[in-house]
Amino acid sequence: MILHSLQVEGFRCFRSPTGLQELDPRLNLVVGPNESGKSTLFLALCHAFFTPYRSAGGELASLQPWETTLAPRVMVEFEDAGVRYRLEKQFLHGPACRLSEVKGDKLELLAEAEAADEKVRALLLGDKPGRGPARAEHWGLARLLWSPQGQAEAGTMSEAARDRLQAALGRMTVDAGEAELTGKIEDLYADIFTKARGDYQKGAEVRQRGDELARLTRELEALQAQHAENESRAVKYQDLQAEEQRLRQARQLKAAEAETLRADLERVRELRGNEKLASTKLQALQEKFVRVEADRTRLADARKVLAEQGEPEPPAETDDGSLRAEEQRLAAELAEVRASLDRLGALRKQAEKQQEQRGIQEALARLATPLEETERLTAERAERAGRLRDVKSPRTEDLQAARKQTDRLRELNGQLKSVGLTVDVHLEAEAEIIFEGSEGKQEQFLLAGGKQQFVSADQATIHLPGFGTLHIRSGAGEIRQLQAERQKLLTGLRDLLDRFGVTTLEELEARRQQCDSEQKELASLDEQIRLAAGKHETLAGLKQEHARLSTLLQSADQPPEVLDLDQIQRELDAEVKRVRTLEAALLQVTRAMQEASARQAQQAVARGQRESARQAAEQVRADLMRAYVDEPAVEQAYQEARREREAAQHALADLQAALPAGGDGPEARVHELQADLTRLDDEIRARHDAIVGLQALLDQSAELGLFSQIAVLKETCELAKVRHVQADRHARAVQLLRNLVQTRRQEVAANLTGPIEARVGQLLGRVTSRQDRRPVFDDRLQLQGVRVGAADTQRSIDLLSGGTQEQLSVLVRLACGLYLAESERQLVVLDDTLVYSDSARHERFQDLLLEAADRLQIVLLSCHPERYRLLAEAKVHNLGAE
Amino acid sequence: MDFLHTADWQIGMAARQAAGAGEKIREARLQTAQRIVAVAHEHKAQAILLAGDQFEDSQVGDDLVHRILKILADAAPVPVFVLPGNHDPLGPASIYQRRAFQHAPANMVIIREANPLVREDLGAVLLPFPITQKRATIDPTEHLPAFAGSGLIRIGLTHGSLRIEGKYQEDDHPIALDAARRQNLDYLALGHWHSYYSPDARCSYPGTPEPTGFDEPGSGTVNLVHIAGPGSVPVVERLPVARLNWHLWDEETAEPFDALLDDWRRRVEALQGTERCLLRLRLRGRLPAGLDVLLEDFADWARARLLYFDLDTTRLVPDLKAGRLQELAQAHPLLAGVLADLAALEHAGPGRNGSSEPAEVPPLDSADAGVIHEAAALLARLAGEVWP
Repeated sequence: MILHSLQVEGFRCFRSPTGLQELDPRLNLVVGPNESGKSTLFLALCHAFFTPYRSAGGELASLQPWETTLAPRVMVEFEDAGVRYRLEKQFLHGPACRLSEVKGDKLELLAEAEAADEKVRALLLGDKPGRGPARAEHWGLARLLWSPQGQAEAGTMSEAARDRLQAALGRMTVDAGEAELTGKIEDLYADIFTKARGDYQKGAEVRQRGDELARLTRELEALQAQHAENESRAVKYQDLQAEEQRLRQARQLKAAEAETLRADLERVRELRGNEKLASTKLQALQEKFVRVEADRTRLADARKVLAEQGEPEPPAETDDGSLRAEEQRLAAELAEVRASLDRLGALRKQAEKQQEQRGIQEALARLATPLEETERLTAERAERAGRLRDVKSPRTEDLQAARKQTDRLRELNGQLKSVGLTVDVHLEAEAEIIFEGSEGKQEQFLLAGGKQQFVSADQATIHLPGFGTLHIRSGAGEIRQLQAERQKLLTGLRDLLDRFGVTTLEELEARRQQCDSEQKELASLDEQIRLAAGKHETLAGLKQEHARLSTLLQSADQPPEVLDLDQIQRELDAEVKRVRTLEAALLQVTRAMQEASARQAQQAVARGQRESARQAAEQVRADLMRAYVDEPAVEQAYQEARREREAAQHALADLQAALPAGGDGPEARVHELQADLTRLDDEIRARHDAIVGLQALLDQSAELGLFSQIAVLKETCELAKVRHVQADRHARAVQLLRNLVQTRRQEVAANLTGPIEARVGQLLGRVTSRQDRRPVFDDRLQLQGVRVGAADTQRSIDLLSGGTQEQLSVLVRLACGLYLAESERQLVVLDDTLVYSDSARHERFQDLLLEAADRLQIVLLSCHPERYRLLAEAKVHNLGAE
Repeated sequence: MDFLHTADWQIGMAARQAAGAGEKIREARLQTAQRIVAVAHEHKAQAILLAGDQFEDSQVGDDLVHRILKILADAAPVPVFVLPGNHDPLGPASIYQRRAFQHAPANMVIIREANPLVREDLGAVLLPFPITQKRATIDPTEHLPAFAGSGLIRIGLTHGSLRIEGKYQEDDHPIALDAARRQNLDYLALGHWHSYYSPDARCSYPGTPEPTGFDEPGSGTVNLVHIAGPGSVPVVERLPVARLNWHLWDEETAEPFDALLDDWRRRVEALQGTERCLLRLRLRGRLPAGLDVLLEDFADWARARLLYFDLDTTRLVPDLKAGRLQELAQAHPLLAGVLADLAALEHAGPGRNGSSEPAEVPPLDSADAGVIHEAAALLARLAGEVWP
């Protein structure tokens, strides 16, 4: 197919009719700057051939020129298999499609509307899009031959396009019959399997049969479960029966035991009564025995007491007077020692006083030297302090004021000197010169030729004795102000200096230094006094201490003799020790005397008690004799009571031995058995009820004839299974056939890609000047990799530069076009391609395009016409400047 | 004494081997029961011994119970001794506990306990052991009731498997092979095995009187037993009573197919009582594409005549190298390729991808011979539509 013209209107940037007219059957170069509409023309061409004219939606609406409601229109004239067609298509508003054959100047309508759409699509083996505009995958052959802007990879190949290409290659292909056969298999497959995931379709027989089988199986399983439940009920029934039987047997045993126990119960009750009587009798006899035994004991005790009263009394303990004499001797000795102690104490006090007086005397002696030194220093300090009091010391602020005034005076003098009078005298003969100015009067004698300079403020008088007097005055007001200030300052300064009896600042400062020095001397003397006075600090303190000590010394009595304090102390210690010994001995004697007194008191009490006991024993004996007549009768009564008690104890033991063992006796056992029987009755009843219930269920379920239902359902399931197996086998057979057919067709595709790879590899060699690389495509002509040299290993396409990949995509289109052009010239459209190619390759590419144009109609769209200067023969279609 | 010995009526059983004819098969078993009663009358049998498994299951419908009671009532005055078997054992859920049996005919004796039944009128004592469990490891003949009397024919009656290696299981009521001798019986009437079997003259299985499938030789009869007196050797005569005829044909496909099918048709027509015949035609050999259509025609023809017909082609090997499909393949390479793939798959066997050309055949883990056959048949049909 080749293109004769393309005209658009109301299409994006083209509001008014624009297009390409009289396209060259070989080479066409559509040039124009960016946004001049080159790609819009490409888009219009694609929509014209492949987008159904009634398509709508946002994407088509975007074809309308900006802010218009114009209906996009395309008109294409093309030639295919020797027939020239005109296709007119309008989208959105008043959509229309007409396909006519151009016969000279006339048009012969071939088809309209959908029929026209369909016919045009068929010419280019395109596919009808589902909804909306056509996309690249619907372009059929154009997908192989047309390259949109910015799409580097080669277009994928549809089945129909591949078949057309195969036919062109003269290779094995699928004939019409086989295509029909394939279609039938695909239809069968689509009836059974979903396209997306290959699952069973809802309406597929295999699925319905499967569902039916599953349903029947579920029903069968439910029935079988019921059947099994009945079987288990039967087992449970038998278990319950066995259990009931066991319980009944247990009940029989318990009932027999209860019956036996009831017969024993009367005998036990009688024994219990006798036991109670025997127990009561035993208790009475026991009390009697206890009573008699107590009397017997009392009598024995009384007899014992009375027997003891007959024995001689132990001698009473008395004091023989030795203790008291010893006590008196010790007390006398102790008084003597204490007197000695008092005497020694007085002597020790005297000795201590003597020692104290000696200490005072030593202290007075130690005070003499510091007192003398302190008195000397204190006198010196008083003298210096008196001198300092006579001299007036200037304060720091006085000094600062004087310095400030002096400085200001000097400054004023300087100012006065600079603005005042300066008199240079140069005498030619010797003479005396008397100058009187603001600084006072100066007298100078100058030799001949001598020079002298005098200064003054505003006036001066120069008197040259013998020659006359020269008065000089200055009229400057500033001088007067300075002088007034200077005078004032001078007055103030003099007053200040006068207060301290000095005339200059230096004297004032000297005075201050002198005063400061005196102060330091005084401070030094104070420190020396403190050191000399020691802890008393001052002379007064020292004197006070001296006076105190002297007073103490004068008031003390002088002892007649000198006492030895240590000797006195030793004697004292010896006497103290002796006192302690005597006191201890005295204490011991006193305690012995106290203990003797206590023992005498106890003996008196014991004698009293024995007497009371004897009287009580007499009374007891008298009482008992009144009750028993004589003493043997007591013993006789005791023995009799003991025998009676023992007999009662034996009788009770015999009765208790005859009673059944266990605390609660047969009544408890009977009660327990009765409870067991009640429980067993309940359990038996429960089992029986359960058995009756189960029997009812079994009867009921048996009558349902579950197994008969199961038998029928099993057969139905069997039939359903057979039907499902058949349907499943059919489905799998269809799947198998489809897979085999697809595999075979992939084999055909493999036959197709081989020649394409060879052809593209050859063209690539010409463009790149490298013959060792051969591209590898998949069965849809998608670039998969590249083989380099003789190596059989496929390498990644990443090895190729972006420019080479782009060149490959164009070369694939040229190769396909050249194969398809075996039957007729084919249209190849390249929109803004080869933008990444270097100039050398680009030039070689142009050579290829020139060569290919012998069999192809090539339409190049580019914004770089200068890059195609080698295509001089190309017809240039200029879309104009922006 | 003459009596009928039968067992394993399996009333109410499911006919899974011939599912489409289940109802007819179940009805046929009832008719066979009627036939047995008739045979008893014909041969003046003095008693009928049912050695267990009269019913397939204890939970069959009551209608079947009533039908059997009616049939056995028709046997009167001949007494019918009914022994529960492992399919219809005694027990709380036993079929013999149904209310229907409260009105059992007077001539019917349901054996509920292992007690000797002395029948002076028959000159015999019956020593039975009823089955109470589906499975048990005890030998039921070891528990036959003792009987010390003399002058009576001693007949044992129970249900189980003879201990023959490979033919029994330990929990299937095993019975010693010499049980009749051990128990000093004149005859031991057994039930459980569906094919006639007699280990010695005093013991036998009669087999099921109505076959339950295509693979039950030795069934379809009852035993007419004649015992002259105590200690006499029984004489057993097998009497055919089966209502249905089950046929299993193993055939090989061979050309010419038309002639082959005609032969089968003739054989079917020659069957006795075709409306009571069940036929399974099990084919082996090669199945060229197109023969399946002929076979389907034959199956339809047979079904119209027989009670049940089943065509088993699972053993056929599809022949993809002959027939019209191969002729078409000569002119159509795609078709030829697919046929080659199918042949390669068939050669490789189920679940294998054995195609060598092309190298890459998608994995076909489910491609078994049936699927390949179906695919070939389908391909042939579609090819016939494309190239009529």
